[in-house]
Amino acid sequence: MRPISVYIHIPFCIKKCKYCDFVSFPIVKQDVAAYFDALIKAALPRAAKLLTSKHRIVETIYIGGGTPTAVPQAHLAELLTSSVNALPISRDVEVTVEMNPGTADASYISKILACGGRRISIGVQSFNDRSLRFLGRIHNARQARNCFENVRAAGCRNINIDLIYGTPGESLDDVMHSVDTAISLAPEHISVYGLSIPEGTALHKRLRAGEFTLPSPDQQRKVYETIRDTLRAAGYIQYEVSNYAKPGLECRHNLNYWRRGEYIGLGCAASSYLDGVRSRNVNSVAEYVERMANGASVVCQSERLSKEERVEEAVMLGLRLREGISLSQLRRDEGIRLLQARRNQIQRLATAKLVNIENDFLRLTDDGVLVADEVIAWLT
Amino acid sequence: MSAAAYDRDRIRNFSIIAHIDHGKSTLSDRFIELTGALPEREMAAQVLDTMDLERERGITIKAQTVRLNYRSRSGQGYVFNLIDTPGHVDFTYEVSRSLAACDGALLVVDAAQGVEAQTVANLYLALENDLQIIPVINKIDLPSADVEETRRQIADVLGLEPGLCVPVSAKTGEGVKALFEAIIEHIPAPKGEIEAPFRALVFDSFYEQYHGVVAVVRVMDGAVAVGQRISFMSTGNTFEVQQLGWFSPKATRAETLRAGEVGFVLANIKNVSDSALGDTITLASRPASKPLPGYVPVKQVVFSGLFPLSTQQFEDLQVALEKLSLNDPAFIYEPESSSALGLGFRCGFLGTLHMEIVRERLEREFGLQLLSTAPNVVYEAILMDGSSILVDSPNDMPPTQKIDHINEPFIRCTIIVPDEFIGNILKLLTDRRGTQKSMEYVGAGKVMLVYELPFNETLFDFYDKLKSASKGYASYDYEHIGRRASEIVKVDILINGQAVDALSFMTHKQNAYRRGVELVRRIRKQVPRQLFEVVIQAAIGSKIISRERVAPLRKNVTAKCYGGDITRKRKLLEKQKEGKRKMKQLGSVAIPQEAFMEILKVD
Ligand SMILES: Nc1nc2c(ncn2[C@@H]2O[C@H](COP(=O)(O)OP(=O)(O)OP(=O)(O)O)[C@@H](O)[C@H]2O)c(=O)[nH]1
Ligand code: SF4
Ligand SMILES: [Mg+2]
Repeated sequence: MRPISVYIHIPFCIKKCKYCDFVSFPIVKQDVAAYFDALIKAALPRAAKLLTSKHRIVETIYIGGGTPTAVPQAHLAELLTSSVNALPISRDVEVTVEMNPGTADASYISKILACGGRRISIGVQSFNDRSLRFLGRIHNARQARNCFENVRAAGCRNINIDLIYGTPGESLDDVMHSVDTAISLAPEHISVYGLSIPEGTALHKRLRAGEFTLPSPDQQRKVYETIRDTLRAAGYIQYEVSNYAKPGLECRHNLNYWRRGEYIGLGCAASSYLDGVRSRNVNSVAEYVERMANGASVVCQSERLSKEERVEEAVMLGLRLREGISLSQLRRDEGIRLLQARRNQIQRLATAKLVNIENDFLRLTDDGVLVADEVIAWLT
Repeated sequence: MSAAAYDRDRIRNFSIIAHIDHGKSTLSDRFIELTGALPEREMAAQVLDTMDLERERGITIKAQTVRLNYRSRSGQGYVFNLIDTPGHVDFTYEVSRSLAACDGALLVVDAAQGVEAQTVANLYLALENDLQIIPVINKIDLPSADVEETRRQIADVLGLEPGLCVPVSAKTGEGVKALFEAIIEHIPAPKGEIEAPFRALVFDSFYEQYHGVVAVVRVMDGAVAVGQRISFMSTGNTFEVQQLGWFSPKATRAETLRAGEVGFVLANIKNVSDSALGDTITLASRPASKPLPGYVPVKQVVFSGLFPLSTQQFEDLQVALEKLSLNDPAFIYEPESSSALGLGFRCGFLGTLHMEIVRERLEREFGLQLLSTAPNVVYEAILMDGSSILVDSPNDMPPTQKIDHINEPFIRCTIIVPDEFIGNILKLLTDRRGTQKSMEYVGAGKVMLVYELPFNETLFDFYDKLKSASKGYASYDYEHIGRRASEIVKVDILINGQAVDALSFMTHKQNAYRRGVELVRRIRKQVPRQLFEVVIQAAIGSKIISRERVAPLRKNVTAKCYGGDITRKRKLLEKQKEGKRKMKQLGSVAIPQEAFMEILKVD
């Protein structure tokens, strides 16, 4: 039995955040009902059959969005129950549900946990009201705090808080206020992402119009390092560029992505990686529902990776993990001796103290992490 | 006078010469218009400036020949062969070639500007050719025109007969008919013997896709007819004449060309080198005994490397250079290879404007994108063993320990400027290592300065500085006066300790520091932060004269790897790498192409 992960996409939100380019749509009642129907009645059974026939066992399930908790609680509860029941899951399966403050009340939360949710990831983003407004979030800092407390009170023992730094106008003190608040709540896991403003978003238009500027790389670096050191001092281990966890409580679902494990994605816009093929489902809710109803394929793009691409991915993903890339594993999987194949580049990076090699692992140093994209481009 | 009624005494061959913008091409327009050579609807301003570049920049680059028929006041028919010449000093070669085909010259002087530096230079050229000169005072329609003062300057500064001056407006046509009469009266008819063996001077030639080489000639003696075999006297190569004719201004065919006439010869010549400028054409069946005096070969004085922006365009560049040199034989090129820029060509030009024009024509007419390295004059290195070599590229300079000394080219320049700006101009010339030879008052508040200075000092922003130091009033001309010993050093640019060949330059010791510092700063601004520190240095030999550093990247990591959409992430990575592949290698450092262009830009 080979391990696999399952991702389920819920493409609905109350209101679009100003920096968001995820596939998510405003809630329309009928759409939501039809969509959950398609997931529960068609997608899950189809996936269950596929996984069983391929002898895969589900180690993690991740219900993300969008905002899964933006839909009526019955839908989500049914989806959770059906997932856990239909899919071939392992005994200690990790089941994560994403939640946004301002959407789920105490009973909603209890329901999630009762139906099999074990890990809850809360999209807090900031404990500063000004930043939250700038980002166009639907909640304020107090609601975020309440949300966390409710989740904890409902008995969840594995909670993540998502934070964003680098919001224009935010001082280092402002960011650290958010981080300190998060630490004081003692979640098991904290993700801290730098704000990125993709093309097509509301903030991107304003940025282009010159209404604000992004913090300089030097400022960002300072903030990044302060956050990292603070979280470390509070007992969190940085296990990936943007992810911190109490020992043993890393997000197994995301680890699987970075280690190039297999996963299948259910729902529109979800991605899969199975038998060496990466694929992606159609973006549109209606199209997804229709194709599911017709028993048709929902895939809109797929590609079988070449060996070169697989190595490229291994470096790109593996280096984001602080543990780094297992060189022996890469040799076994892809037949490549990275240290030899990239000798000059690795030597130069090592001399500049951007990477180090310890035992079997090639990994980024703390300085290397800060320029990870560049290092990766260099090595691939 | 029709082609049949050939009468040598009714031919007038002359060039129009002047300082830049004094109105040569506009005056040519009036000649064409008032002789009825072109129907009105085909007239345009500066109709002879046919190249796009000429029209855009409003300057003449190539001399143009036109044959016009004029019926004089006395009722006689005359043929005018007029050559409109360029005014810019880089194209002086075009002017002197044209003058050799003429018996007279119209020296045009702008009545609002008076005599300028190139008025003087062009006058001397005409005198060297023993030409009859008619001074033409132009732009008399302008409110600021001062005809009397201009006449005085023509007499006092140029030493010409003031009574000969013809005031005209090339714009309105006023006075132009009087000028026609003056031409008939004062410019002599061509000499030459119609019975003598055929001799014609090739004073221009260009390449036409369908016909091959078009040789533009002035017949000195005898006659030639279609179907005869002609021979080029310097090579002995013979060709059969396919077509004869002249430009009026459209190509008009004729059966013969006879002594005194100016026209074109088509003889199925595929190589421009077979019809060298200054060569003499004669008849194969009855050759002349002696060729005409030819031209002193033109000397390229400014050299620079031209490289295709994308290395795949090397062959396209080669083809383009071949084709362009058919129409502009004044530049030369040979392959050059640079570790930074790849394969390209070392090219020699007549000046920096010529360099600019050639580059622009290559880009436009052949769709290329080019990088050019800093312009370089031709130094002479005198070696320890007494031998000497000419060096037109910093990378060809022998190692210092082998060199006894270096001679650099000098020019004598003439500047005419209103006296209120004299202080600024003197300072500029002193900064540029000039020495004063003379300073003379030429009237109307204007002073003529003669200076000797190193040619190299005029390659970089000299002209602009001259203009800004005089609110645009200074006019300038120069001639080369040979090389003189000078303290020339080679400055290398090192990137992380490695010299970048494309960026080395030679300069006087006194300027090395300043230029080194400037270039290093400019590079620093253009080099994006990299993973590793980049150290940029300027060095003379092993001595570092300037140093800047580009600190390594501080932060470049994208945050999220969301929803398992790893394909998207890989695509981003590939885009990033694709961008890198397009970069140019500056030693061990990759920089964007645009940055390289900025670095190489000459101000
Ligand atoms: N008002 C006025 N303007 C004139 C006259 N003749 C020429 N110009 C203007 O002066 C400018 C230069 O004229 P051109 O005929 O191009 O001068 P050029 O001597 O051929 O210039 P180059 O070939 O670049 O040396 C143009 O803007 C003409 O319109 C004139 O008689 N009166
Ligand atoms: S809640 Fe998340 S998915 Fe929804 S709009 Fe905001 S950022 Fe996008
Ligand atoms: Mg002109």
